[in-house]
Amino acid sequence: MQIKEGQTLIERLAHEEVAVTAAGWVKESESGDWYLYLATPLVGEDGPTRSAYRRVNAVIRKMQEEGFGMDPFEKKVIGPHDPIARDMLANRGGRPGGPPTPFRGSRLGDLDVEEAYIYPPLPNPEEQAGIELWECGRTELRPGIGPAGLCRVVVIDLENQAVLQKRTYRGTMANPQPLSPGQLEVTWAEGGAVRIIGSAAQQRWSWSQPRANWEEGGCPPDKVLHAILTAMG
Amino acid sequence: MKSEEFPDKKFAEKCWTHNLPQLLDLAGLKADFEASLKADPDLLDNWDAVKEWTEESRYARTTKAKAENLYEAITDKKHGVLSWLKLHW
Repeated sequence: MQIKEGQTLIERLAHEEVAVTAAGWVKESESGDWYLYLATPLVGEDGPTRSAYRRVNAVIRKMQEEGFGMDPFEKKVIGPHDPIARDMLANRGGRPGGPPTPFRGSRLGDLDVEEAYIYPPLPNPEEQAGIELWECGRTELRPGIGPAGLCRVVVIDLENQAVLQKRTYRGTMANPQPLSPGQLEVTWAEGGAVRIIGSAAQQRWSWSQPRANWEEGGCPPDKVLHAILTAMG
Repeated sequence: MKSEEFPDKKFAEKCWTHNLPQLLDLAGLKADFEASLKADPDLLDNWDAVKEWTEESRYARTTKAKAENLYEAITDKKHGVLSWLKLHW
């Protein structure tokens, strides 16, 4: 079982426009073998799988040329209507794009399973933007730590896409400085929040990494996100 | 193993399976097969379809398209799984 490789493959398949509606590593009880089950509409209802394998294998081959190391033996494709796919969908959890969650049952559809790890859905573009924003802050994620957690704050010039100031604090920031026009203040908190405050009115956004959603202001405009990602390198 | 010898009991017990990847391994063909899969993408596509077969699936109702899919994956003259196996008999 290769958790990371499975994730990489699912992301790449999405990038190559191969829809995957559910996915997970499954240890089949009968053989004791692990397989990455991929549910995809490439397999029609009760339809043949060979053309689906052809498409998926073509993507894997491309990835292997780039150094991808998953054993091509270890995958199975099924249709989205397959009872295994339905059970994977019903039992998946976790934040989009996050690690797979262990399955506690002993059957997926008609299949007896010893163990299984089901991947959460891939993030949509807005969620992906939030995840990238969190990651560019290079802050340790410690959900639930509250005000005791470390906060990292930077002031960014929106036009020049450069960091003007940076500091860290715990609890409440001492001597907060007002923002000049065209500046953004971005704070990463170890609890998993990223807050963006702009100098103009209504420029407030907040991303929660543990919940994987934009909790205030929706997803910021591309200009704001791009400035932050560029400034943070 | 020579044909007139009794097989090793443990090995024989392991062979008491319908699991195709396992049988490939027990036959000592896995490395050769993997090399062939790398060289022949169509063989890999066919193998993927064939390895889904189980002794239970043979009793299940299936569509004509799915049955033909399996048959072609086995018997394709150039890239079929049976054609490859015949080279190693």
